[in-house]
Amino acid sequence: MIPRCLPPLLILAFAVLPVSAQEVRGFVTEAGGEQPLQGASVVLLRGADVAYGTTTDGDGFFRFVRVAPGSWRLRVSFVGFEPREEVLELTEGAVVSLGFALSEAAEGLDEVVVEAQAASGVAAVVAGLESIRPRDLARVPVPGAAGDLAAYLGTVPGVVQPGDRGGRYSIRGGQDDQNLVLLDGVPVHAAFHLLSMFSAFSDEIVDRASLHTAGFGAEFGGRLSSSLDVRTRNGNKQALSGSVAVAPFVSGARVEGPIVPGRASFLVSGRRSLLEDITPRLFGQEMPFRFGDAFVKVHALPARGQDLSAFVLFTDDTGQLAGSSFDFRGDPITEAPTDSLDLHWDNRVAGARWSATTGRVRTEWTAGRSRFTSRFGPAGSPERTSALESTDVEARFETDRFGAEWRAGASWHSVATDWRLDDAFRDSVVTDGVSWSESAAWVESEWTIGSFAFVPGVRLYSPGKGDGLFVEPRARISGRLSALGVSHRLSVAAARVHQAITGLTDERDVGNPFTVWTRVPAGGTLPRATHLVAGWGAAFAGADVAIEAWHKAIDGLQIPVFSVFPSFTTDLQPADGRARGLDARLATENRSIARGTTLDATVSWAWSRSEYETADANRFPAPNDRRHSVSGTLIARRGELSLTLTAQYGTGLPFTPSSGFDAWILLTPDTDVATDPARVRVLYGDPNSARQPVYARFDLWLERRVDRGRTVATIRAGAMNVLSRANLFYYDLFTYRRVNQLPLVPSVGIRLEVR
Amino acid sequence: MRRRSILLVGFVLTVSSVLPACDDPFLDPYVNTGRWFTIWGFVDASKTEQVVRVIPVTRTSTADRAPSVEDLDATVVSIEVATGVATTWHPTVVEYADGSWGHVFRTNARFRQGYHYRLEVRRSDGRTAYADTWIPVDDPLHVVQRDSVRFDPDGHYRQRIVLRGIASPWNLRVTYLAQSGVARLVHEVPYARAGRRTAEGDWELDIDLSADQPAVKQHVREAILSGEVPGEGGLSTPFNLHQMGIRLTKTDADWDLPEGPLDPDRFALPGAHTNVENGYGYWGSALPFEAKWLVTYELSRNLGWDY
Repeated sequence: MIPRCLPPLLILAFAVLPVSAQEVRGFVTEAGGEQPLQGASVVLLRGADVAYGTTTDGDGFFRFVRVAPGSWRLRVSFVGFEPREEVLELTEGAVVSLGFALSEAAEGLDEVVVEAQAASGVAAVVAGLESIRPRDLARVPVPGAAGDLAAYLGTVPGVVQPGDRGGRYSIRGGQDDQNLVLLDGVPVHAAFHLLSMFSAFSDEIVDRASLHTAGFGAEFGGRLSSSLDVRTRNGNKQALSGSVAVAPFVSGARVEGPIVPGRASFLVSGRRSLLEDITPRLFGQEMPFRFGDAFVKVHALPARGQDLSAFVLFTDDTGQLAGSSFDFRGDPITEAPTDSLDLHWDNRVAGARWSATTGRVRTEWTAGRSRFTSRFGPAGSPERTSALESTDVEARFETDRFGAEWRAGASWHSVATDWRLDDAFRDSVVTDGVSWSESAAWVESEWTIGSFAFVPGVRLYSPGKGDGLFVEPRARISGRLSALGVSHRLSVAAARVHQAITGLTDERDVGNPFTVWTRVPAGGTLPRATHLVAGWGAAFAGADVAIEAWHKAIDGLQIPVFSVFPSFTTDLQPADGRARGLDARLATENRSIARGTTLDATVSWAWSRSEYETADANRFPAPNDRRHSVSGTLIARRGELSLTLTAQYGTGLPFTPSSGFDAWILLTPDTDVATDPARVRVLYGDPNSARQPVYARFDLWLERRVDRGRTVATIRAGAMNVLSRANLFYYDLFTYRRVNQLPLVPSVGIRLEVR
Repeated sequence: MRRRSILLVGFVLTVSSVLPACDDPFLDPYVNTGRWFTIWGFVDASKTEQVVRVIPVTRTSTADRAPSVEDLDATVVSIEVATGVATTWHPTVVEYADGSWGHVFRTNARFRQGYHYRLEVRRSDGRTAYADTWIPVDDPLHVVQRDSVRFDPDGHYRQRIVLRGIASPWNLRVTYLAQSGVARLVHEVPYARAGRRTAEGDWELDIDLSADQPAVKQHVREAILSGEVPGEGGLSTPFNLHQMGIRLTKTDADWDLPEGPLDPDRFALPGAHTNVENGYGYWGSALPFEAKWLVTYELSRNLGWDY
């Protein structure tokens, strides 16, 4: 057992350790908007020779440590922006802080720097870590005229979405409830909308995102499988700007501008789906989905080196799962369902962040509160309700000591859940809930040796409820190696993670995202995951290739008991999970295929195998065990026109088949079958022993972007599921009612942006 | 370069088109496993009427429907395997206290101890589910008092007994016969399924004599006060413990109910507890048994009984 005083001692030690010598650091932002530029190339030159080089992080921050005293030239460049250069005279022990606001270049693409390109896309893939920028989102069109983080995630190998509905996703062997989603450091418990290509994170508000699919760093924890760290844009501090988008799927608007010019700004963004109202009239199809989100952020620079922001996010989703439904023969069901299939969930999230640089230490404080509620059944009297509320406080520190970058932090996380489940088959109601507090402290350092970076770290996690303290080692090594005339990107990462919270879904409902949140029983084994991921990447003939292999061992899981009684059960049984996989991506950009026509292409393939083994040695596929998935995006551009084809293919997810119904009696010699009633029993087959049909979808979009300086108009027209394939969304194993994913849905959208 | 690009586009389009065409989006999650009926019941050889409940295996739940006898396409026949004598059971429909309905078949046929019987539930198309049982034999129950009565450090008198040849007894009850002259009273202390199975396939049970006595004595007092037994001296009438015994229900050899509490979520798993071919459920047989033995004078005194 680790002493409880260790986390604060670590932080104290961190603050008093001796420091290094001369340092040059600063921020790179986009002129006018104050948006941090991640991946900008920063080099220190002595004469004509490059002595030091780095790229900016997600905050646009860069740092050179242990720089020799003397005269230096510092050059900053970024694709599409005018480079900047500054002369420095560095004296003994000096710490120089700089700020660069880069202006967009008239002929932006000529100034391409390799390091800058590496900030996102396939070339940026480092074992288990995907860095995502708004331009990546724009590459995956969604119905409408803007991009969305959810649509992009659907193309990332290892990310398993049940289809174009559902609001859930699994990452590399983990379940949906094992994914951590943070918005500016505050958890969002159900970040994805009912239509899977939309989330609370439109490209109107996303500045950058990091998806850790395995082997994540010490900063993240509390969830076994992945972490998605989304950072939002700051409003424009110089001028009022915004956009309006109108489309049947989702329409929205964004307004941003200065509160105090140059020092404080606001950003307001909202979206609302119009599907439910428009599609029956335009296309004669019932699309009973309504969702929307609203985001407000205020950002300020109260003093030099300080950064303050606060935000609120509201999301809501309401859908009628029944929609157009079919029986097991595939024939349409015309009569009204006897049970309601209304599903609703919403998020209320608020957070604030303050960061400051004092001396050589950069400090960041985050506090937030997040509430998620969900209900399933008639709006007035839902059959099931579920709620999850959390409060978070986190402190983060960065500095350089002993010739390395050091990052450390501590967090406190309070959680309360409750649920209410009507059991129609047993005519009873189950109401319950649980609350607890978690805390963590972490530290990691980054050591550069040659062209490789070594990032060891450790996280101490206390899940509360007297479950002790857990040590979670983390490690990442990444770098470049030249061989055979090619620069190879190599990386490997490992992590151990624990998770106390667990989300339960009903075995009965194939595809139903309704989730009950609870905690694994105190005093038992806390679920634990061990990740190992290794990656290789290289550029050949203008194409980037990335291959990753990964393994996750998840022990001490608590999964729902496979109850034979037809009711939602919150009973748990212990199980161990094993998941492994391999995925590959190939991407090429700006490839000329005809005069004036270029092509961007990304193709990815993923194989994985994910299994559970229960305490009674029963081994079966995990619910997210999609063995193969392929996705591809082709974008052909000619002038202001672009044509995009996206394809998604995934082999069927497993489910537990049914052999019908009977009734069960606890038959003992005391039983009188003439007077003792029997309980309805569903005769499940072996757990997850059957497979759903393949999921496949093609989307085709034609887009025209008209750029007139400060005003940009984008028109996007096309269709989802152009083959109108009947992909499965929801299946009630008891009533044999089937609901399909979206059929062929045409869409036209227009977006006007004032910059 | 352009040629390679066009090839790449062609490859992606081809793969994307072919893959989804390979799979039919149709899904029927119902898997017919060739099991047609679920049967619940047992032959209690001490009773004159036998009952069995028959539930058809259906694609959807039928629990909330009020059936008639004709709704169930089933004929229930029991066969004495050695002689081939068949008895057709009489169909009835029962409404239970919870509002559900069930098909219950009844017969007054005699089931002979030691004989092998088969119950068949047959559909009109000939599909049949069946189960076999061997009716237990009313042999003298062989109880071995493995050790003499011991006095444990906790101040309790205990006695270990072994039920020879009974691997899985049900509804164990220890009996105490208290006596005063001609007045006799039997008190039964439930032991449920206390004890454990031995390596030899017997059942071993520790009787806590001291713990049982307050209930026996209370029963005696109440019986005297109510006049159920004559006690001329009132509550001071001297009673002694004269005899002990054990009662239990013996089941057929296959009806091996697991020890400990029966967890419905596990015990009800299809296949966890069944002897029905082409179906689910259980059809067995049971017979009550009893054995008695005398209590020594010394033990009766030590347990606080008066002479």
